[in-house]
Amino acid sequence: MDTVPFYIQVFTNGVVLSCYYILVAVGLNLIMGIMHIVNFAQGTVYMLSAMLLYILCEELGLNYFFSGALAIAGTAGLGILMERFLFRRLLGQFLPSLVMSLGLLLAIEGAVWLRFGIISKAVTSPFRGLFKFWGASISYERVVVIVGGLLLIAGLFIFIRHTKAGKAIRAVEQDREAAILHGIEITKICRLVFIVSFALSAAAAFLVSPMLVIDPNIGHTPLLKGLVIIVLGGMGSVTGTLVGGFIIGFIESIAGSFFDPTIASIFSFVILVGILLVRPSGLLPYRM
Amino acid sequence: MRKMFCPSVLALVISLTFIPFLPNPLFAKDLVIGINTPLSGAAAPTGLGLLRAMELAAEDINATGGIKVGKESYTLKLITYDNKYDAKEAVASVNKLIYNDKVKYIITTGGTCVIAVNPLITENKILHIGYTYGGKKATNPNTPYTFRSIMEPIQGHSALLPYIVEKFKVKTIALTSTDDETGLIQAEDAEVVAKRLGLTITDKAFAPRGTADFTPMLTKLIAKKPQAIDFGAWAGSDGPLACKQAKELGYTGVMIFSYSQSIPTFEKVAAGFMDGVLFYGIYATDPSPIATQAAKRYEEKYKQKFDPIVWRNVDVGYVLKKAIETAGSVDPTAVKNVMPKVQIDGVFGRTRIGGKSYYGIDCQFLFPVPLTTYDGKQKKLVELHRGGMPADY
Repeated sequence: MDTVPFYIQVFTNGVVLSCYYILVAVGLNLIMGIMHIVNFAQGTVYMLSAMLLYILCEELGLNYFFSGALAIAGTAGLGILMERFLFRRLLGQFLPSLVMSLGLLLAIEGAVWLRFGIISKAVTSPFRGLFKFWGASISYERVVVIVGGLLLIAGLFIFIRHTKAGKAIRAVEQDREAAILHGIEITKICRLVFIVSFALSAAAAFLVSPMLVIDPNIGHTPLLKGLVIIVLGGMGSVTGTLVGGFIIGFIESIAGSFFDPTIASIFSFVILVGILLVRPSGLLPYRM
Repeated sequence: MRKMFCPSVLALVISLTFIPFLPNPLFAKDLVIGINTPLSGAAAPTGLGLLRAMELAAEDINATGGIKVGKESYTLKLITYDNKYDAKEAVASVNKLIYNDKVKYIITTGGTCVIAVNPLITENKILHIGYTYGGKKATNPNTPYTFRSIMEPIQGHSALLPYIVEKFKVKTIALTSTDDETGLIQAEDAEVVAKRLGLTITDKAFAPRGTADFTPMLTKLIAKKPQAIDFGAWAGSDGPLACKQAKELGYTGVMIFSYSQSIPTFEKVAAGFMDGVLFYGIYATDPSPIATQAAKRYEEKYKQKFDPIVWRNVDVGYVLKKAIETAGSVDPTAVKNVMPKVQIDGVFGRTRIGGKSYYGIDCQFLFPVPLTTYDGKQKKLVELHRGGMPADY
């Protein structure tokens, strides 16, 4: 591979990985910022929506886009149920929520394993094909992740910064008591945050599934990367998640393309430790 | 009446006296084989495949008179323990087999399991067949009672890489594999054979199983322009995903999948990207009439679609029968000593036991291995070549 196509490839890989991680991490961080709980089952939510997509697409034979819409709606619905019946009563309780979400992770993965077995599944990609860009081969599946991912991230920013609901979320994140005094209903905001967070994970599954495979363990990587991104960017900070996500995505792409995937992971953690030593609260804390 | 009675009684007495000396299965002794295999957990399909292959072989051998040793006849009986593909469980199972069940023949599935039980096996002089990789850690001169029933990557490469190099004019190769012990051994084996053939290794890359995106690693490998890539121990969905992503990156060289692959998974994950990909040990059609017969019997007995993984274990029962009959004894040491002389026409063709030049001991089942490619136009596998190991291996 020549130099220019190689760097284009590295850049493309970086953006794809960043978008993939950010979509899961931002949901995780929203829940952390608003409810002060940690949802370890966020990666499992991503896996569940991918499995739902597989059932609708491959087992029921529905159209991919229609299946995607149903999977996103279904996962958002699951978010409402989880918030109402499981997480609402743990509002602000970090450790119990951690244990509860770990239990959920294990229970859901076990159930999926029983239903689908350990053998990986794949959805038939509606975005087949490649194109050449300055000598680099780029698949349409990757373009979909990049375009879809960036649009969703931009949409989230507009929602958080310019809509009434988004402003309410920011208000709760900045000062819960003051927000309540201004008439903001915390329960509604929590429900909304769960809906947005779960829908973003489902959207990530919709975008990424044609490119990767689906099995009960696929949620582990985005969860782990998501946690690293949150610590790096700052807890509760959407902007920080975005910055952290691009840093981790590009480190993995660059280090993986020049060294080794294992070294790439080591690089990510070394940089994380380095940044935390200088800025213990992350790069951009308290910036919704 | 009395005249008739006397000859009848005499005939009965004579029959009862001599029947035990006749080779009649009704009076055969039991030869117990312990099966130490995973029947639960992720490796259960592999373990069940081994068990069923042994059940089929035992049924067939018993129906045709059992194992004959001198004037005696032995009926095969199986005792099975679930080792869960866990070394501790495997050791516990072998302890039960040796000390409770008094078994002298054991078959174990799993590299870590075989390595863990080997000291017990050697100490108690149990004839042991491992359905395992594990290289020289699993079979070596210190484990004289342990044999291996499946061919390892080193044998696959030795048998098939020379053909690939010749046919596709390959001079450079890149190696990638999983970063666990199996993967590292696999890459090491490929490197040994590649260097022996004068190939230049352009690059090596390792990553954990379940890697979500191979693209960065493959970008690095492909940048060095290798004419071939060996995908080492990437299996399950990792193998096809790596294949698909390499082709998406525009790689057009020779892609070798030297580890066991599930073709249905490959067809699902890498649909449209399989054309020209090379597979070791995958059969385009049934490898032999014996294999076809085994598959038919399997489906009749278990009312399930035949799993080709069963083929790998069908020969084990017949090799044991031949070895015991050749030794003229059921004593494991005597049987162990004749194992290198045993040859049978098995599922994959002529099967023999060798490997001394590599392992330092003849412990390895050897049989011809196919090299298969996927024809994208016909959407089916096509066998390119069937290679074996040199006679002095």
